[in-house]
Amino acid sequence: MKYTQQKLTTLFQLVTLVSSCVILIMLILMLLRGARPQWKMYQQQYAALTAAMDSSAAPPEIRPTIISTPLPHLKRIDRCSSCHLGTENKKMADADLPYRTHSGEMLKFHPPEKFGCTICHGGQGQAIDKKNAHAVDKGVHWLHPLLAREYLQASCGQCHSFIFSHSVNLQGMETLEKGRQIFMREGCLGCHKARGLGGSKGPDLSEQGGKSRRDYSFRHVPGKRTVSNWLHNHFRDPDMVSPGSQMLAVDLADEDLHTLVVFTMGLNKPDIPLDFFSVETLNELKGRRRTLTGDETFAGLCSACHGKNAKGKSFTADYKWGVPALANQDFLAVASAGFMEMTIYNGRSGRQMAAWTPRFTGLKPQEINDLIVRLQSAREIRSSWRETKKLVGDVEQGKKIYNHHCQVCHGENGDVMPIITLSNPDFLASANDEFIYKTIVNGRRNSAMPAWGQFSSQDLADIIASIRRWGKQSPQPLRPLSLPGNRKNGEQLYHYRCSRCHGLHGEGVSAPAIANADFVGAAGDEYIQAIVANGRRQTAMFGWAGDVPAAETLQREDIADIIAHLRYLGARRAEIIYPGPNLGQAEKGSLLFLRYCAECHGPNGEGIKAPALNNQEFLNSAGNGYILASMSLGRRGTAMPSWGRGDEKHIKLSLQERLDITAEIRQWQKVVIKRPGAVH
Amino acid sequence: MDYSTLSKSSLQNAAKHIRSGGRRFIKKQYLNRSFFLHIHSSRVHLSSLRPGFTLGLGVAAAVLFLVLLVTGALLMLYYTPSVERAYASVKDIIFIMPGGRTIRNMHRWAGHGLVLIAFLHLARVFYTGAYSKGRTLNWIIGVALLVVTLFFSFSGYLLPWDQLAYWAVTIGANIAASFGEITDALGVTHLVNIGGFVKRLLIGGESVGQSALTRFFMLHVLFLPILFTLLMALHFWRIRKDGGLNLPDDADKWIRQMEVNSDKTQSSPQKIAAWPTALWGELAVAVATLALLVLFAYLLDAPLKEMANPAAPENPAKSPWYFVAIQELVSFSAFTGGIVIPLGFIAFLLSIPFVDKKSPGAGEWFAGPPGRRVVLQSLFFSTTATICLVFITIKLGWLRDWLPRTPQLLIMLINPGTILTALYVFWAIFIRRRTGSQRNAALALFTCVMMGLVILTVVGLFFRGPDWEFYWSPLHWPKL
Repeated sequence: MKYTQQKLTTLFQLVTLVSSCVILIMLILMLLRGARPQWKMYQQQYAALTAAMDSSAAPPEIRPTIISTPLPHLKRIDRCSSCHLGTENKKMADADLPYRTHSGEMLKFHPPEKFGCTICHGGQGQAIDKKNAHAVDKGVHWLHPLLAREYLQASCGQCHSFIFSHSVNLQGMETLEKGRQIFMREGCLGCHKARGLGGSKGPDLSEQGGKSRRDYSFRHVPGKRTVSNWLHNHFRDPDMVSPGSQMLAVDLADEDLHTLVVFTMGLNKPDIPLDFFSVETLNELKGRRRTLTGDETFAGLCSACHGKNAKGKSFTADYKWGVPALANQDFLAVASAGFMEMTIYNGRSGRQMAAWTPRFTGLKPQEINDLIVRLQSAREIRSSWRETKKLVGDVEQGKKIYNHHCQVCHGENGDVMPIITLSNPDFLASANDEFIYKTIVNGRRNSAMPAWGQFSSQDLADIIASIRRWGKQSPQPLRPLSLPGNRKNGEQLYHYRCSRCHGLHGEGVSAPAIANADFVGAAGDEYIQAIVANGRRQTAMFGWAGDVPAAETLQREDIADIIAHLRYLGARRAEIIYPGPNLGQAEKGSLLFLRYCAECHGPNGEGIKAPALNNQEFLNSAGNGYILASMSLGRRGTAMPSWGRGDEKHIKLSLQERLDITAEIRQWQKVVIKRPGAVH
Repeated sequence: MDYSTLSKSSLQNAAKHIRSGGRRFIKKQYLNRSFFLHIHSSRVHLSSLRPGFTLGLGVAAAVLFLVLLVTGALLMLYYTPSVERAYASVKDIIFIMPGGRTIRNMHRWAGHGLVLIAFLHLARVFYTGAYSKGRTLNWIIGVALLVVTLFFSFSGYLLPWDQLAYWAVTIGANIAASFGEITDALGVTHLVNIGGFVKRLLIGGESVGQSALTRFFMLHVLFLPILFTLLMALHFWRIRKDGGLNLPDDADKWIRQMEVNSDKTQSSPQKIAAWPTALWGELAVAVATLALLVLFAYLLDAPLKEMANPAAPENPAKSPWYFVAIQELVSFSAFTGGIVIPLGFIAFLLSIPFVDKKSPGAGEWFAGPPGRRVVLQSLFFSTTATICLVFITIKLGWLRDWLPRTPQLLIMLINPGTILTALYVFWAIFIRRRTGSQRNAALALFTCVMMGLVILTVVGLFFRGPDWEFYWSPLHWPKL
């Protein structure tokens, strides 16, 4: 280590020389790298290509330049045509990429000078080399890489996605439209909101298509790190891709799943001027949309859980995922429109069923109404009064049916209290066959009388005949009323004379509910007049026009007024679902419940492998009649047995025992929920 | 051209001309001799020219700064400091501006290189004791230059407005707001919100946005360059004023041992004419630095991630590498890690020349073999202590994990950062007691701290994953 001035100078000069050479070499390399950019090469080749095609014309002057399309509205600059030179040159239809003509008619409606390229194709428009422009490779940091051809239609969705509008067939976006139909068919909106409609269990999908691959976790996704691959895997197995996700796997054929992926990628609200959007999309973005039909609402919102055929899911396998079968005839027989309405509006707390309040879910009241109509229309009615009245009933056959079904509540001889006693001579005398028919077939809303749609006309004739064996209709000659009566007066009379037993609103306290649309609809004026005037023996109902001591008699006009009020009450929309008469004893019922029901419904009715009964929304939707009828008849196709009939595994409970259990269930109700005040 | 005159002799003449090109370059005063000699004294001690002594770090830093000025001015032609346009304008610099990619790469790597070299220069100056013998002022200017360099680089970090920039600066701004921890712990934040004030002063709001970009841009292209230039001029001027680089006490003897200059006529045989030997030395360092920079710029592209998105935080978000050690300390305690320890370190640097006044052995690396031993021991001690403590924190957690109700003030007082600092100081006191030398104690403390910084930086940079958890490799990170 000896330094002399000479040695040091030489060393320094040597370092300077070597370093200078390195700089020189690097500068040359840089120049070489910069001198022949990709786009320049492509432009020269394109010029040669056009010259070769049209030999007559003079070769065009080559002046390579970067072609930029500034698109200030779309907040981008596209330089794609620096390499993709033949997109608008019809002669290049068969040329190789990047010179090939743009396929289809797309550019006619989307002039590149207004739309550019990347708004549809993705990729980095600013870049001028293939790797950076396409941005597909790993090292390029760009959120929206070039879209593969099969997913390209997702881009159409940015401006043309209208979820709720009737399909507007735009050429070239068939896959997107197919995906839309599948999206609306598979019940996605039951958990996800899109454009203001849908549930809140899953994330809002309105801008799902705007998400880039950075927004997704690819930890559990095999294969490529692309949005489309993530969605594919996610639809197939949501729990694998996003552990803990409650999303249901989408069971679709591969090509259908592909369209759904395309649709999801296209569901977006890009940050571009409004005049780029189609009218339908704009309306939807503003919250104006077409009212869906009942079928569409069911398919779009309910079908993911309740099943496309409303078959539901078994509670016995896994309580958490059990879903009531809405198409179950036994359910439809007991569930009134009010029950469904309350359930849809309020949901079931603690369960998967959401409260579909229009304000929070975007569902329109009209759509809920249509949905209820759609659900109830699944109830089969195999008879008609027109046919039945012509048929002659067979008493023996009718007795068989009666003994299997009606006897469960009405008793073998039709005399079981406190249910309507069918063998009551006063009943038989005043009720005509049509009234009986209507009551059987339509049931009685919010009471224990289910609707018996499954009987044929002959069956019904037989049943009526078997009831008639106890006595015929023999209307006592009543002087006809002068109708309509004065409802105001009737209201007062009802209040003082009837409400003690029938309830202030006719909801039934110790006597049956009479302000009931089904009752009022089925019962003629004479029938009501007969009951009011003559009373019914063996019950607490005495004849008001008769000679009952201490009772003020009612005049004929008064009865007409009461009928007017009854009809008003029956047609009126009640504020709540009235539970109706509660004739059991909860103390006794509590023991019975523990013995028979707790195994499935849980000791406190919380639901173990059957629906929770100790649920305020349920108790506010279901009257005592609903509970009693469901218990008595059971529900076929589910684990709920008929406790009125009993079977080899289950004991038969007496009517009083069932009433006691009903009373026990009813006393769990802690709050009163009003019915939605919207349209009816 | 008349080729007939081309003869062997004329070729030889040409070769001679080329060989003497450098000399003629100087003789004809293309590079002004008087300019050079204004910065340097006319005679320079041979000892100052030892490459192993200075490592050329000061010149390299100056060259990098010049490169930064030039490339920065070029980048400014295209760059737009607005939230909407910044990212796109950087993309245009890369794709459209002629040579833009290379210029940006050079600017980026020169910026990082300047910070690195500033640190190395600091270490070199410290270890050769160049702060003593009247060089106190220049040492302080040097420390100021280091701080300015850090802010300079940090302010430039935000300008590309990509995810990397945005979240690194967010972290940096939060470190600046670390004062909030103590005011929070004392419950007086609503009265004196110092942390919030510093943060708002820095980025002009609660989160990084247009005002932060504007401030950083102005800092980066106007205030800091001027400040840096002024400080640099002072720094250079002080070197000349202080009599050139510092020399070993026995420089003359040393030089004589080296049997250098036999020219007895010179009054001080160890001193040689600065022109042109010193010039060649500086030129060599300058050109070598440039060569390295150009090589880097050619081979490595400066990072540019996706456009900044305030709604999509990076996890882990890491500050620029030179602040990662502080970020690591902040993860223990914001106030002590982000304010007390960095300020303490700067205070320590500034106090060195006042504490170690005599500075025996200056002008020599580590003041000779005993110092070298101290430095090696300190390296070993610091490495062991730091790694052990980091290990404990990662493996076993800290007070909060053991006693969940530990008050924050206690954690501020007792955390790995303060314990490390205490260990370093105790070690320095121990060395002082053992060797009886102030200089050795300073060597020990400086070595410990620098090694600690390096280890913490490495841990933070390479072994911290999402949520600042420890991972051996990014391959083990939970993918988010």
